[in-house]
Amino acid sequence: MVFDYMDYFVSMSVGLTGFSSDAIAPQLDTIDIKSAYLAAFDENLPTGMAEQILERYKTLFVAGGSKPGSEEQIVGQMLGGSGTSAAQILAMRQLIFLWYAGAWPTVQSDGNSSTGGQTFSTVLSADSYTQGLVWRVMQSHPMGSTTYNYGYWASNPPPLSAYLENPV
Amino acid sequence: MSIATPPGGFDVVIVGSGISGSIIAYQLGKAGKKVLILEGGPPVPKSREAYLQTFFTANAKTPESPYPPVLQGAGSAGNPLGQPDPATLNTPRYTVLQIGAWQNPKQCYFVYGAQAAIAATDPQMTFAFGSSYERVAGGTTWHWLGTSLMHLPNDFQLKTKYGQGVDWPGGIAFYNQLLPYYRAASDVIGVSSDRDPMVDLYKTFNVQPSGVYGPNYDFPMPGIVMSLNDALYQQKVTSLKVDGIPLFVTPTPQGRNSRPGKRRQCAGNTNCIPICPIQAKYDGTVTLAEALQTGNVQIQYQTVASNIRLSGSQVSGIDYLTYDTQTGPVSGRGTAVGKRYILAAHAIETPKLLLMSNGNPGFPNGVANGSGQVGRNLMDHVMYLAWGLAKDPIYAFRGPLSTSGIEAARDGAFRSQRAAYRIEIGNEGWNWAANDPNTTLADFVFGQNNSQLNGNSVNAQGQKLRFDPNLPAFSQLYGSKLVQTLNGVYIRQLRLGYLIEQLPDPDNRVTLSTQYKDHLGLPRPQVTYRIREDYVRNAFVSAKQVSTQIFQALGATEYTMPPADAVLSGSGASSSTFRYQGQNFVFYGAGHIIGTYRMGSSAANSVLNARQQSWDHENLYMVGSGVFPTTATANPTLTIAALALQAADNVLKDLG
Ligand SMILES: Cc1cc2nc3c(=O)[nH]c(=O)nc-3n(C[C@H](O)[C@H](O)[C@H](O)COP(=O)(O)OP(=O)(O)OC[C@H]3O[C@@H](n4cnc5c(N)ncnc54)[C@H](O)[C@@H]3O)c2cc1C
Ligand code: SF4
Repeated sequence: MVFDYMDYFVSMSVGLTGFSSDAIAPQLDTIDIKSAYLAAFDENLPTGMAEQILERYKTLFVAGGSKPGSEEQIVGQMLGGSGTSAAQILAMRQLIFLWYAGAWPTVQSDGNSSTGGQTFSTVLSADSYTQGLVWRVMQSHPMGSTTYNYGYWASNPPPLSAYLENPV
Repeated sequence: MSIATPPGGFDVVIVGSGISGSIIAYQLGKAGKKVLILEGGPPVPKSREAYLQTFFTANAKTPESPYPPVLQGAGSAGNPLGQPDPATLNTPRYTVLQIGAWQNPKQCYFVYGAQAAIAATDPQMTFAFGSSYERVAGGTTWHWLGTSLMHLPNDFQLKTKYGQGVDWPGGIAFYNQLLPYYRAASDVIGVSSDRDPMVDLYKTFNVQPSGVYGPNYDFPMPGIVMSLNDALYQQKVTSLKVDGIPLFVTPTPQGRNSRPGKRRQCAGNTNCIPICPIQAKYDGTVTLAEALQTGNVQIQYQTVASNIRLSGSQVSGIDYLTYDTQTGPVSGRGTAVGKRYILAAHAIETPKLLLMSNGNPGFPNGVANGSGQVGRNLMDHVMYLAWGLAKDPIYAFRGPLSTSGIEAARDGAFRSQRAAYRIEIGNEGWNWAANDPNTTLADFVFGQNNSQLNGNSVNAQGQKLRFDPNLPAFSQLYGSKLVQTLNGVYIRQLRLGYLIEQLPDPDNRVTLSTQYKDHLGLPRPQVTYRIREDYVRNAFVSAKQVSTQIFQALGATEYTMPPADAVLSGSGASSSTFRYQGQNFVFYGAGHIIGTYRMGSSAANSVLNARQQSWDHENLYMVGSGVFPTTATANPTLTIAALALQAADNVLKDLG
């Protein structure tokens, strides 16, 4: 990628994932998984596609007054095909999967199968596995890595909002 | 790693450093005996972090995924998972991923023959064996769950009591004799359990708890607290009966620390299989370390036992091959000599070693095989899985993978007709059942329906399975709607697993492949595996009905996926599906490999006597679940440990 799109990447990721920017790009971001994801987003797509998607997002976001809170509505337009191709829409969905699973997905669509096809994925790194948003959306911790203490499983977890809004 | 032969030589040579080999080594080492362990796999790593990192980055998080040799590489046509050719590995083992490639010996370590059945209803139908094991120091308990239950008295007299299978040698007397060893085994593993629920359980089986535990016994640690999931079952299942037996939930005795002790307190990493990151869960390396600390036990790693030598009818040595790297050449050979020999290489590699040792004059069928039973009666607890969604959140994916079970149907008069089972209550959502969280995630991101939550699926009770009836089928979600949907699904996921007992079938067996070898040049296991008896199949019918009743009692919706019709031939041949009483069933392995060198009361039909000593060779013993005459109903390892302690006493008696 030739210029720095991190701000828009984070903003678009907020819209795509439903998590807050504090969760996606915490102030003190020692793991910095967003950089790994931006790189993977770029590398796994045809040359230039990631940039085009981010350009489009930037255009719409700025046109809307760069309002925090408008992210989801803007990605909604893009996923609905406003100025985006089918390939770009798929790429944005792959990015959702990456944020959630920490793995880059290969989607085998199959309109004839009763399940609509299958998805396979490749884990990026140990960090990407543990940073996966799936663990937070289930109000838990990565399988194999917890910061909770003995017996926590006998009580309700903190509310979902705590997982959506905060860094891990 | 140089071995110093003690003056006077080794008293005992042990093959394998899993829980069974390590327990014996420790007992003998403590008693001042000189012990050599031959361990085929690599040493225990300095920190478990290396294994943990391998697990984190593995694409398929199977039980074997943290451990060497690696399971997956770059995929190619015909080998999408990039599974290594077992012929290129020095210590290949069977893995869960190989089940899907069971007909392809370039990917699957076990070699299987062609399907003999012509229909999925044919009891002669052969399957892929469902369970796997490790070949690393410390053995398979690296990835066990830790469930530590005792067998029930009637498990030892299945033939006498119910006319099924065989008795253990001595029947009920064997059980009574084993009780003190069971208590000692609970200490070795450090089982966490409260006494009261166990007493309540045994009462329902008319077993005198005072006889089980003695007057003052208590478990090493208090019971592990139950999950929110368990609490729901606990409230609701008591309205149900199976074959007239009232159901209730029992907290599971578990080999994980409920308090800080020599090991750390369980922090609920929800990862007991495949690896506990903090070793709160017991594994064989704990006892191996204790054994080595006696100063009397030595171990030689990356040393694969390849042949047992006889002199007359006594074992005179065990030949081995060594290697430096997994794919490298043989780096050395030797023969380990002791006064007594103990095989503890688990239930596939042990019979394989016995059968490979076929060059001794007078013993052309292999060592200890006068009965012809070596490798036969291969069993598992075959598993029926059922899953569903609770009405209200139970917060799955938290805590140890399982903390409770329904044990009430482990024995009863029904056992003259159908196999018994215990029901394990999962805390890990649909992780095992449907490969979640990924399956549900992919469904709602890409508009697929592999979870049945996002399409037009309907369950057997006619309930619509689409999670959100307000969404169209094959929805593609993002943002807050995705969050809401995934959260709603994951925190409600339920899973039940039935561990169904299997009967000894002499034709279910491990033999030597005549065609395929590993990289050391040793023949690979050829495996034939069926589930022929109506006794066992009837339990699948029962398990299916009972699951539906349980989910109904819970107010939950059942999502158990009905298996597609079995495909009998070709590269996509079904590995584990059969058809019985008009329904398709798929079975899973429990990880319990049982029965390939069984004990018995006669040299004619068993490999070992009740002392776990070979009928044919007085100075040869074997341990592990291969010695079990039947699977019984409890997960095997507490019994394996008890039997290993008993065998250690027998060997000590022999040595004087
Ligand atoms: C997924 C899973 C979950 C499980 N959960 C439970 C549970 O909850 N409760 C329970 O009771 N049981 C459970 N089990 C079963 C349990 O893991 C086994 O019963 C137990 O580990 C067997 O111990 P062992 O010492 O007999 O064999 P192993 O632990 O397999 O040890 C055998 C050793 O022999 C070595 N070896 C093999 N071949 C050779 C050779 N030729 N030369 C030298 N060394 C050799 C191996 O490297 C290994 O170290 C589970 C199993 C699996 C797969
Ligand atoms: S729940 Fe976690 S800490 Fe506890 S035994 Fe399992 S993996 Fe270890």
